[in-house]
Amino acid sequence: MSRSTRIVLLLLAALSVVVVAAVGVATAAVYRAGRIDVDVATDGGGVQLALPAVLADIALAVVPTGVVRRAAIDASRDTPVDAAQWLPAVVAAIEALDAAGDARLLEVRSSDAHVVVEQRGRRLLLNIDADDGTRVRLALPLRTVRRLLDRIET
Amino acid sequence: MRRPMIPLLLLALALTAGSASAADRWLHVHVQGHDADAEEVHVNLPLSMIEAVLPTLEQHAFEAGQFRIGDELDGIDLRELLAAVRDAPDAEFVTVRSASETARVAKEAGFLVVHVDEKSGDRVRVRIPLEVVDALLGPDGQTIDLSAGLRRLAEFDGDLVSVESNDENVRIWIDTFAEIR
Repeated sequence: MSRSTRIVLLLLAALSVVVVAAVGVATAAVYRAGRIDVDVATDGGGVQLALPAVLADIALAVVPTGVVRRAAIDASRDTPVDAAQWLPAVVAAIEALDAAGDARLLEVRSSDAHVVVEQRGRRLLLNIDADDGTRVRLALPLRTVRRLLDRIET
Repeated sequence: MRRPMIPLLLLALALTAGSASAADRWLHVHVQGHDADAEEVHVNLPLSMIEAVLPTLEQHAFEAGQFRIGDELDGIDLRELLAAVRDAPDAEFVTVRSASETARVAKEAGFLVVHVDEKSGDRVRVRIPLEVVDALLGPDGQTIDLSAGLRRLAEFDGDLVSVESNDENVRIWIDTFAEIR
């Protein structure tokens, strides 16, 4: 084997190691970030979405803070409470929940709906089953929620 | 080299165990309506979460987990009052009987107990450890320190409040279980 062939093979081997390592790191990041699940079913149809949360993390990193804040303000405009005032409390609550472990945090059973908010495997789950056939399943990694709140807060 | 490490390790373990007991307590609220279409509500929250949230809340006189009550006390020294209750033997301190209800405030085995029985059948039971009441009162007796009260509350298990009314039953209690058992 000539000297130049040996160098090319060595470079290819080094490149392979780098690619494998990069894929490994990316896989670990995707696995660690978790998954966002949205499943809304109504009588007329529904929406189903399953996204790696790492995409949300990337979007949060790329989208300018002003846009994130404006979206948050628009989203909270119709709520009866001053969302900004409660933001530090929500951030503190999410951080503490993350440390507390799995639990069913809230369950409301009424004549027309069953609502459950729980934490399972470091994900915040919201399940709504209404008598009119509406069904909502939302699962968000706590880490993603914290990142979003951090961006809004800053 | 190893021997001096053992007491240090034991100390670290003891400190961790102390803080873990506070972090592992859960506050439960259960509301059960009596009507056929009544709501049932379960709330299970880690005390550590409430403790973390309290200092972030700022509303009117409420700041950093505390609120001032000095202006409404009209010269009453709550610290002195509490010391008198703490040092007294178990007894019933206040009993109020009216046409509509009977209310009683007592000290029972280290707990401040409030019982209200209404003629309509509604029943209220409140049972708070005196140590928690002590922690709730700020050092000057003019503030209610909810954060300090909560930290002390984390050392206890059991029922705090129960309300049985014609419309619904409410129960608030603390234990080490994340969910209702």
